[in-house]
Amino acid sequence: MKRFFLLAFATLALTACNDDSDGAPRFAAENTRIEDGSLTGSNMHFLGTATATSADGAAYVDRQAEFEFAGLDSFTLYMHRTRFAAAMPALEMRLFDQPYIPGTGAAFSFALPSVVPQVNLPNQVGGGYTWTSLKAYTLTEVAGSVEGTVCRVAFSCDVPKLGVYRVEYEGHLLE
Amino acid sequence: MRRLLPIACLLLAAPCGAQAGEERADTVIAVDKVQITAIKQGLVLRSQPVAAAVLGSRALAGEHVDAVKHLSQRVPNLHIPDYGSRMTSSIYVRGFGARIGHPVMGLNVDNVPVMNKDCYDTELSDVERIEVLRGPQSTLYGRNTMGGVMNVYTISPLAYRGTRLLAEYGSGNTWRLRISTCQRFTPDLGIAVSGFYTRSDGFFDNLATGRRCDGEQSGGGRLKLQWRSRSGLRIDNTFAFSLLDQGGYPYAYVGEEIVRDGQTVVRPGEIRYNDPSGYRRTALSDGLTIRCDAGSCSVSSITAYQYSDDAMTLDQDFLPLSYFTLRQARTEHTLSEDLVFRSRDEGRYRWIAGVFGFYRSSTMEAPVNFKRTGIEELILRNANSSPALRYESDAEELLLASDFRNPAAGAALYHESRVRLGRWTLAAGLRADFEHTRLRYRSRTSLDYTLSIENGPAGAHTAAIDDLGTLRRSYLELLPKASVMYSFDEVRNLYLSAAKGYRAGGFNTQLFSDILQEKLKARMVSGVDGADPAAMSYKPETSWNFELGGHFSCAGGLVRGDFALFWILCRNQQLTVFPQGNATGRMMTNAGRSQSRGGELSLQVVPCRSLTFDAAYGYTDARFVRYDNGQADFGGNRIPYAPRHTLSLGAEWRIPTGVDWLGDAVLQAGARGAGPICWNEENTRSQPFYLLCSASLRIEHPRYALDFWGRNLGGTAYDVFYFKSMGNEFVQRGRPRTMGITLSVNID
Repeated sequence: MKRFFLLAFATLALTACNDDSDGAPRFAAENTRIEDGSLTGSNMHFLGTATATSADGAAYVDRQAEFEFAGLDSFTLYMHRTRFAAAMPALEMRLFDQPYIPGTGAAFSFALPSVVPQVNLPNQVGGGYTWTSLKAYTLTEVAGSVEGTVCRVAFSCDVPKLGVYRVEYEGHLLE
Repeated sequence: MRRLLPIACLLLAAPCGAQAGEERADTVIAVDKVQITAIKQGLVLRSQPVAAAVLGSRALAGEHVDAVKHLSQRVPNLHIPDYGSRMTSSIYVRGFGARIGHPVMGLNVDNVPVMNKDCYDTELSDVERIEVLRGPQSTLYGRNTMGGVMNVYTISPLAYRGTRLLAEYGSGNTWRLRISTCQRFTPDLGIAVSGFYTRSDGFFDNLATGRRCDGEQSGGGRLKLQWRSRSGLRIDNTFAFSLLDQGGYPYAYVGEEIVRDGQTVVRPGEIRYNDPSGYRRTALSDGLTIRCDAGSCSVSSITAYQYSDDAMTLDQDFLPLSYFTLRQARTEHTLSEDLVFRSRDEGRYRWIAGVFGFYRSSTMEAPVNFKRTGIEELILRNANSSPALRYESDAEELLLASDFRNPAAGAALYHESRVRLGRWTLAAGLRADFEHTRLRYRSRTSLDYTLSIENGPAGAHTAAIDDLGTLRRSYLELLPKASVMYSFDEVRNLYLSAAKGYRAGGFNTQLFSDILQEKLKARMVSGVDGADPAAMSYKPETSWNFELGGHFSCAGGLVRGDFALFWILCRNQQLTVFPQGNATGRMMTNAGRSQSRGGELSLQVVPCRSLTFDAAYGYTDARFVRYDNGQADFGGNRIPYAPRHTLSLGAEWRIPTGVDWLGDAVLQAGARGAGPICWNEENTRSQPFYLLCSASLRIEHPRYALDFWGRNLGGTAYDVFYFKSMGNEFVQRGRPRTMGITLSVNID
């Protein structure tokens, strides 16, 4: 009897395990997608914290904010499901085809006085979605950098109905 | 707490005058001499390394324990708040618990496990004895017993013969009627038949309808057959069924006054909602236990089939506004088999081993119906907060439909050995518990709307979603246990134990309407729904419980009790949380790590034959060690919903009247309390400690008993539950002062 149970326990232990992985994000140890300060066409996904502070000092914090850089000679920054306030719908927003300043090694930076972002919106006919420029969301004092595996972006926006916000983001490169 | 151990040691060292066989029945710690077939656990729990409370039939009747929730606080560190519907059955023990999902405590009725937590809160009748074992019992009882197990034993028709009637009337126009009869056809064959009916108007008014909202009526019955052969074969079969129709949810709004168009919608403290709410349940079960004693070993087979069909209807905004309603209807069939082998030798070495398996088939429909206010404020207002976009829809209703099939199967092997070396007893056990569960879902919705971009022409759109999918999860846990006990005599001992507990993982079916709602909103805006697949399921919860405890008796048996000090380390604690923003549902999530430390003391003092004092106190310091939900870090905060202190005090004075036909007068007084209880992870809301006083005067005669009783006699105002819906805060008030009269009659 004892042998049977010991054998059965051992068999079970070897043949099965929980298939619930912990799902934790895996961050990259180094950034090989920027070479000599230039983008290589390989997209970079960053996961981090975006803090939107309103004029009255109230902060909305998204600790699962995902930013994505794409491009070669210029960059496009995708801000996935971004929102500056809890009341704002999550938007797929991007800063399209913007210039950047090459840095040293795996680093670059950018500084833009004003950018009209594009938002992915339903087409008026025929279904599907199109990136549409929305002046109402014009971003000012846009600045940011990627240094190794760390990305920092900051901008201001004055959105009718929502108010004035200063957004600061810091994220780490995902594998 | 540090003083507890030396005091207990002194008590243990005191002379013992009581023998096990002389112990009084009906106390929190005593053991009855009743005919009960306890298959896995011996009846003399005081001689085992486990923190246990035992209530016999007289204590259960005297304290009106009609459901397991009435054991709340009577057992130290056990808290079962009475709120919501009878589906809720939230049990908190030693700082851990569950509002939805799997329970932390198992429930066995006549050795048959109740597999569905939604059926825990049912009428208990003809109960001979209830044992509450605290601390993980996972080695013998498996999944979902990491906080302990409650064993309910009903009376045996082979030990009792006669007919019993009970009629009770109390506050809230509450009636309770019971009838049961036990008959023996032969000395070896008996039958017990019982039935019950209860009804109540309820205690709380819904100001929107002008009627009581928490009334209920239920009925049911049980048929128990027992047969014993002279050759050691025993067969028990218990068939039970129950029907329940319950009004719902006296949830009081506790936010700022809501005013719409100059009209007050709801004020703080008011229960005011407009849509119908309630819960109905049909449940039946059959448990067949066959035990055969042969030679040095006994073999028991426990086969059970359980069926439940229930439906919960909710005005989920709990406001007199037409936001949305939910109906959750579930049908479940479960088949389980437990084959238990056990040594019969009374020698130094004893063992128990077994094989367990179950299969559960579950289907559920959970449609959420948005009404006009909900569409305007939860869908369109969110979309229109974007300055350049203008959404319109003239839909009056929006159906978010979710259908689920959730079959699960599990198997386990377990073994426990016990060796007695003089006064020392060493025990160790291991269980391998495997479970596979699958969720097949279909979520669908459709909304017609128009969209104008930057004041351009409005285009007509339809956001339609029809998602089909299957999620699968498998869990294997090894659940070890070890203990060492030093026995001073039969009923005085000290023990040290370590055991692993486990709650299975599962799926967040409650969250699907939120996911669907978010997907709909995302489709209307950017088309990327961003549903987090990880949120659809939650991981198993495991814990290690380290315990130092003991059972003591002194002053010639006049003072008896038990104590335990525990330290629990929990990983992936399952928590019910309210998603961020204007979410409409709730979800299970896993906290990283948490721990609970505390102590328990149960004491019974019998200064003379007619006077008994009982006390039970539990202290728990349960906190998150690591829990960051992405929005905030709750490390160091107290775990919500579990009380820090539980206290139960009771006194009984039996006075013989000297009149034959009158019997004894029994005066009983007691108090039970719990708190403080934090209501949220932030620990910003809490219920302070509260104490509820009760008293009764009973005329007790062997043929009848007449009992005048009252509960919460001080009229203490307290809350038993707190939650958020759409960011609004609600509580359920505890029951007010109630009084009643109970007549029971015994006919031979």
